[in-house]
Amino acid sequence: MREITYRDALKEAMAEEMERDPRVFVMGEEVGHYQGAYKVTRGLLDQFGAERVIDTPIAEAGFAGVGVGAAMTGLRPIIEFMTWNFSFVAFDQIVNNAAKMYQMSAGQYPVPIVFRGPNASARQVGAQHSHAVEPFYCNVPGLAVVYPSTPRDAKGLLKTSIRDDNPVVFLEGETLYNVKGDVPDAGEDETIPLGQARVVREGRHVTVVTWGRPFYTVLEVANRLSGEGIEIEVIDPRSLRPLDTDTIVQSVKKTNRCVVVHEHWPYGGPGAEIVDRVTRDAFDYLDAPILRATNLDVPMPYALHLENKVIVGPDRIEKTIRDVLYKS
Amino acid sequence: MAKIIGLPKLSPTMEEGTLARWAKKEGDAIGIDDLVAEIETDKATMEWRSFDKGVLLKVLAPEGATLKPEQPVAIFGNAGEDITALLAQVKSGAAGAAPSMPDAPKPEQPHSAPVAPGAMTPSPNTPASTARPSTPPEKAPTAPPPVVQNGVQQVTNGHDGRVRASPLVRALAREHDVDLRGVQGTGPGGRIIKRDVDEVLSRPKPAPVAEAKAPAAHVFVPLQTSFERHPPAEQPLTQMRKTIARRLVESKQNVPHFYLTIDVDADPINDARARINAELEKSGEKVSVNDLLIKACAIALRRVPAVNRSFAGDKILQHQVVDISVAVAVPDGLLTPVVRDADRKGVVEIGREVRELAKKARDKKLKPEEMQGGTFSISNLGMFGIEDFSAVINPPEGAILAVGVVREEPVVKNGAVVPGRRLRMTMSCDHRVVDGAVGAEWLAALKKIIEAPITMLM
Repeated sequence: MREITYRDALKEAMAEEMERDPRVFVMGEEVGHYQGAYKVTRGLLDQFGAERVIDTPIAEAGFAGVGVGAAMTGLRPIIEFMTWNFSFVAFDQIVNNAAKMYQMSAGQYPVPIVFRGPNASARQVGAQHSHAVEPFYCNVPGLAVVYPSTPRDAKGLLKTSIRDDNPVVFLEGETLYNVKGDVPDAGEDETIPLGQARVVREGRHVTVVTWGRPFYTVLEVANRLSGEGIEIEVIDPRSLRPLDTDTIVQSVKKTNRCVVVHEHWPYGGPGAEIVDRVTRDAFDYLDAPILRATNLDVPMPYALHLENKVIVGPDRIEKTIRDVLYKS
Repeated sequence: MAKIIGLPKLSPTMEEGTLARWAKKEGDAIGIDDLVAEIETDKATMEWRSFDKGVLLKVLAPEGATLKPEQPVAIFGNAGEDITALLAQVKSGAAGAAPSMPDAPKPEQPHSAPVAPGAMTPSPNTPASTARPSTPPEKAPTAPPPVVQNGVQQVTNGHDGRVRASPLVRALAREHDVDLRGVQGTGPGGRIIKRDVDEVLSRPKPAPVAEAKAPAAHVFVPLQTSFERHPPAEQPLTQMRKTIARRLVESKQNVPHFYLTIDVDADPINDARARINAELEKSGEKVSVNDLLIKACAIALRRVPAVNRSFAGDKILQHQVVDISVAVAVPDGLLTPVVRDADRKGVVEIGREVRELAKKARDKKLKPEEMQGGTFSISNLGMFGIEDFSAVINPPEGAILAVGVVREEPVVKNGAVVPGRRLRMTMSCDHRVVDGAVGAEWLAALKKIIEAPITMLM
């Protein structure tokens, strides 16, 4: 084990998979000469050359479509979006082609492609660069949606996603690139299966399911409330589709309460999906309604003081937890 | 922010309360712990003191109205706040929420559930989305549908005609056979949550009562002809009368009573009383035979603890304390205040306590904790000249002692007929916990103590 950043963990995953499998290549805006808009692909151009690390024009529909075609003909592309907000330009390629091709071709064309890039809020990048896109892609059968919160999960899940024969939407927390954490030594080749949640922190009073940026805020709140004797069980689903319902339900059966914390807008999405599944599978174990703490239901404001109000922060999380504990 | 306040549940057994008197009027400022109103419950007239700070914006229930716990009685808030929305809310649930006035016909329960008191209502300050707002305003979770047990629909604990309980609580209630109608919910809007059921399960369990049958009054078939000639005057049932009717029917129908009667020589205890009262003369205090009997029973319960028990469904509870309930007649019924740890108190202290509790009972000032949790009861009708009678057990206690008058009569002492005094006592036992021999052993122990009061010191 050694401590590296989430950014480097992602780069290592790509480099190791490109080493292992010559069919894997990276394509996107600024991935090569500029070393990546967020420096995730730093060093890959030197290591693998311009044939496998391809800078593209600003044309998401174009290079995502090229990626889908490449995957259909046997390559294993990794498509980087400079931010997931721009993926909407390529929405048709992702949803109509990548996700549906295997089924529409009666299994003749698997599409082993990974779309990756930074997701959700950062700091003052405005409404069109702060979008948490997981609800859109989680809604599509045929896509896997992966969203790691820690460097170790980022590396293990990205390696699994690259090896997967189906399209994967790989969401990276834009504010998480500098987060450091323990990652197995290079060459250990740890892969983490999709659809396997992780109990990050054990507790007995309430189950909190969270991913991405709020993951760290929840841990901070959990540590603070622990001083009051409130023990919070924190679960990181790690992949939102497939979703590991069992781990969450088992936890709720123990704690009788559940809070879901996410950055995506409150209407629908994986947050609401978790509420639905827990209600169905753990109904007789619930002592309180399942509540969600989310970003507010507005486009992200640019002004910092308003942005801070919109993003789900420690106060909103703590209040929601107290509400389900009937301790408001 | 203004909110609807429901009728507080002032005792665990309170199923409805009558608003005896408003201590505040609309527009009055209310501080925490201020007296808001007096509520007549099944046992006493209780003070309702405020948990909130604010202004009494609206009185929703007039004096004399009878309501169930959590039915809306008032709106609290800040001075000058607009309460139109809340009033509309109350009105929309009007059928379930409106107080039923004495002798008014009971309204139908509504099928729509109004928002519970204390529930979040959308605030005008909610940031409006610049796009079309996509989140519906938060509402209180709607209560699950009513539970039906043995074909009887549960009564409400909210004001929307339903028992409000979390799914976990419903599962626990099924598992442990808890009747949620008797559980006070401490969650939002009176929702029963796990901690409430845990509290109930931690209490000594009374004997399980089958679905309460309607009291006799409900199946009363009048003699038509006499009614036509002389229609009787009708008296509405007081809360206390309703409780007496319900609990005694439950006891008589579900507790297997058997009776043991014994005659004791009342000379020694009367002599003891006379000597004690002579000592007390200067202080102006007095003890009664009944005070001595309470002490004697308490000592006997220590000596034969098998009578100091309760039947708790799947187990027997052996009480570690001796708390004696004393039946006290009050103008419209009877109450049973409890003398705690009677085995460890002197007779003067017991006498003082009984008089104090009896006064409180007559003034309707007894607190629930002063009349609950006895382990054995005494009922004395000697003052009316009754020689003996059989009392009804006060569940979940295991026995009750009915005491008659001290009779002056010829008795046989040392082979000769001499004037004597006798006291007859009948013990009613719950056969599930007290068998005949055990009851008899206890009565024998009691007789020994009464006939030699000095042995109380042993």
